[in-house]
Amino acid sequence: MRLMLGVSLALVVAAAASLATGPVGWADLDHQLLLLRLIRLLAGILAGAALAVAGVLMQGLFRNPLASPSVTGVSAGAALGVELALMGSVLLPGLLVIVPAACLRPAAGFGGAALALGCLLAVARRRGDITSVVLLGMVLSMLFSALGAYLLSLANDRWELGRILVTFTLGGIDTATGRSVAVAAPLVAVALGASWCWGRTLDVALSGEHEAASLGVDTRAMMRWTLVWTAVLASAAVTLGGGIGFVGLIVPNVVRAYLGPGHRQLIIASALGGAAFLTAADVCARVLHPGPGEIPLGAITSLVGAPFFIWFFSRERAAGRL
Amino acid sequence: MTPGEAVLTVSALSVVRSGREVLHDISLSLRAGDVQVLIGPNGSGKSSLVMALCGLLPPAAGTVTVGGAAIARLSPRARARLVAYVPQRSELGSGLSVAQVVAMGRFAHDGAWGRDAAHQAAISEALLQVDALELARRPFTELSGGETQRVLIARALATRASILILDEPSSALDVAHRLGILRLLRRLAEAGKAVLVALHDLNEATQLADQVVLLRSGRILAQGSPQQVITAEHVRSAYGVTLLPGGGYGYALDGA
Repeated sequence: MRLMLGVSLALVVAAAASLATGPVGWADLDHQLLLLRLIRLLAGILAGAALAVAGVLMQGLFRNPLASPSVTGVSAGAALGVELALMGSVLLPGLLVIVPAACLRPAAGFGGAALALGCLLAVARRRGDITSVVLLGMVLSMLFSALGAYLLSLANDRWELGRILVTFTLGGIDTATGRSVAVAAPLVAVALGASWCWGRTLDVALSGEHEAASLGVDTRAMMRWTLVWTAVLASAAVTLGGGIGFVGLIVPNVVRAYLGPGHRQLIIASALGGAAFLTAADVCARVLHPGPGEIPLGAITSLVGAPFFIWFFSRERAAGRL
Repeated sequence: MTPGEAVLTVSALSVVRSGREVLHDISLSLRAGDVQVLIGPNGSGKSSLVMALCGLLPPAAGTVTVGGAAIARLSPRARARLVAYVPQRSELGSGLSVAQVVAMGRFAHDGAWGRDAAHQAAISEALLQVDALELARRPFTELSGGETQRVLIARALATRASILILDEPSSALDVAHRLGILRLLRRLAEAGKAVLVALHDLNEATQLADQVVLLRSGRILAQGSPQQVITAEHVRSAYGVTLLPGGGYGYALDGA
């Protein structure tokens, strides 16, 4: 309970800082500017909660604290989808007549994630074992990342397009729009609720596939739905914020060290913690940059996340908790 | 369920794993109040049969029937309420207390939103049955081998299934803990459970079993009472060793 209160308080503080931070001071903030900051704040909250809970689901499914949404290839699939959409909107402006600009990015992100998810579910249906799913996920992740890198190299011929793709790849919620938040919010809310419902099943699944099945878990359904909700969460986060790493790794592990492995509590606390972490990181991205502009959000989460995670992992390992 | 009533029936069961037939034409019947022991050399198919009886491996041919229904047709939850499985060792990692591990046995009874009414009582009762009530708050991964096995049996008992199937529960334990587990299994059978247990040790099988099934290369070599099955001829045929006359380790738990 104390941890829940702590992360809730951290989220409130980070949210207040996010609304107050920017080149224009709080006193001079007009309605339009406040709305933009509110959209940015909501995008951070949604993306942070989605990434953290996607991490909880993956770590629960694979029974490995180092698993993250990226091992399924879903994040890379969503990123590739968005990159294609960004290229398409610049190179084929007619595309925007068919699909409105505000919907193109989310639709392409979810499309890319759905492609990866379809491959994973096909393997899960045929083989039914988690190892095959992990192996395929890693291959898909590498494949989609390689295709993304190829797109980036092609985009370098056009300065503006290259800049857009690089900005997306580095991660950031400054480009989120009201429409993209409105599309992502219900998906994230439903996926968070559904993830919570699978919490008890994931608790039992900690005992391994055979034991869990003997205790009444439908392991195939659990794998299928866990992958589906992870895909929804990860693709929503990628659509909102691009390539943001480490949130799904750091937040669930820190929360688990204090709350234990019970997934329902873990999902609630990680959603709050992820939202607080990403909002705070976004504030740092704005405040810490010397001069105008911002540090890419993905760089902030990785710069903070990597050393923190090494310290935290060593501490927990030494204490026998990991 | 009345003592002596057949609660699990296996008819002409064959199981294929990785393209290889690991069990062939297995037929047996498990009765309430009985302890049936599976013996056989390594690779004879004991663990595969245990898993098939729990519905964890699908039959390639034949059927496993529990309570009048083919186990393969039951939902995982319905199956878990009828048949409880105790693995040789658990894959559970750190962070869980004994009570949380035993509570997993109630998963098949709990609703999507809340625990069923008998949740807490079933956990306490199960821990009491294996003399592990005092372990409830201890971290599961810090238990000794004997305590771990008792807690896994408690988790199976918490399901309140009438059939208990165990895969070599005593193989990693010292003599005293092995005998403690055997005594516990006998007590559970006397309380009305149908118990089927895979064992390596022929002396333990003789001490514990009402019925013995001897497997060799995925087939039943002999089945019946311990005296009928554990004979010099069968042991030589299955294991390739000679059974010495008047064998036995000659130890027992204090007060047994």
